[in-house]
Amino acid sequence: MNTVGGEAERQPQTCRPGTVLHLDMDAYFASIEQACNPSLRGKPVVVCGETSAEQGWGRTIVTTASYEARRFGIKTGCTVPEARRRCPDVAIVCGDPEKYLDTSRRLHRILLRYTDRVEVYSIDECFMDLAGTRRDPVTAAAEIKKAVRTELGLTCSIGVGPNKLIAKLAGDLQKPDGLVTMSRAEALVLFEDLPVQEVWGVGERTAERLARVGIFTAAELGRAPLSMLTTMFGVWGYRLQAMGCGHCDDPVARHDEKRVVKSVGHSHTLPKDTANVTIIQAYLRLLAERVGERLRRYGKAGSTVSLYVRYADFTGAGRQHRVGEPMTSGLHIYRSAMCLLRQYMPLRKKVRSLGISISALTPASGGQGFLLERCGREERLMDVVDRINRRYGASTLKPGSVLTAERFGVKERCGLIGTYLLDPKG
Amino acid sequence: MTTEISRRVKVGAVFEGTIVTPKWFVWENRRRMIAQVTWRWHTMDGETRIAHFSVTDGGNLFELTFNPVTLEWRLVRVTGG
Repeated sequence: MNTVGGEAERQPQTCRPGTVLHLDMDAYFASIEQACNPSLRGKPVVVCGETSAEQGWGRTIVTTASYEARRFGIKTGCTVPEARRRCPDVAIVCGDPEKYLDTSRRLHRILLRYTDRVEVYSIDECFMDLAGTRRDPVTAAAEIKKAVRTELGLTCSIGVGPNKLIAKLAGDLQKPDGLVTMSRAEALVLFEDLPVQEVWGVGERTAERLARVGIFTAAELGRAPLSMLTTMFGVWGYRLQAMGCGHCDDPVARHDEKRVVKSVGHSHTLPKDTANVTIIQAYLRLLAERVGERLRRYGKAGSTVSLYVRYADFTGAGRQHRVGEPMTSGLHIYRSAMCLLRQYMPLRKKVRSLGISISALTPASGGQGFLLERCGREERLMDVVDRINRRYGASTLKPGSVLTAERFGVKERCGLIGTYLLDPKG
Repeated sequence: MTTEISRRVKVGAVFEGTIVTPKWFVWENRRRMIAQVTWRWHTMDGETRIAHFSVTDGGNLFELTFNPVTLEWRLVRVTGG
């Protein structure tokens, strides 16, 4: 295993562990804000998702902490009051998702100079596969780090390995500004002491189930009897054991490859908790319209509606039901979501956030509107509204009831990754 | 502290090919010289690609936007340095 921490210009090592790269931007949102605002550089900074200073930041969660803030123990997911307790001088910045998305696109353009096999894994993470490009992966990784630093003014950590699993593991070993190469043999040595939940793809629940049968490390997962894993996890057991042996045959997708959309959802955290049903209904209508617009944009219709309600005390509940006819219309989605909301009535607690999701997607048939004149009119109306909103901006035309939600407060934050992956611009 | 402004402002800018760089702007009856453009990004407003600039006059941080269709510059917000 070779590390080239913090010095992208250093001569790369001769080890050739593989052609797959995992790139992770360092404290991405916070680093961008520090680059934007010179007065924040070198200081503890947290980026959060909403502005609620007047409410004492009680509801606000840290989405990214700068490395300076992390030294105080501030992590993603902690509340702003907790961050302030740990570091009273921490600077709090309200995040700007569009700024981060546009920067991601610039990052992708740098990576695409090397290969079209650039898979966007999240807003600040990508996999690349340089197989067939005649480029030395480690040299390319060093060049990429240099380009990211000079063109974007940011740092990133890169792991190089024979597959996505090992590349990601290598990349996570040294942050910030790291460059780590790892072969499968080196990974297997590391696996002896690596907690199983740190293997990419092994979630918390899977780790808990594995712990019940005495599997705590990645190496133990690799040595576990296949029959036991398949009994516990079904087909997934084959994959788990392969992962424990350092194997991963997931190809790196091409950048222009569209992901299969399995569900479309939107959620929104209200600016303040409320039990006012009129306001909650207005937010549901807003969310339903957004979901419907995206379904139509993807050419999909869905027949399973899920509603998630999170209360002020952070408890929550989700319900779903299946409707007969696949839906694309915001109004139909809203009516289905309202059926589910009625099951929560009367509300015993104030609501903090709401989410609607549509699954069981099928290709939109173009509707069966020809059967019913009324359906045809509705589809034509949706089409016109979509075209106007695409041209002049989202929510230029909207149902009047949405205004109630907008008066209460709407902050655009939802659907970031999906929107980008499916609809890259610029 | 950040203050939302969202007002049209007069801006002096250099256009070099497809690159736009604001050099000064007028706000509160004062011409502010831009010491540094710290960040650039774009957003879509319908079909219009709006250019955003994070700029500093050496003290405060400002966000300016430029709409290439209406040729309108706006001062979006000011953050005290």
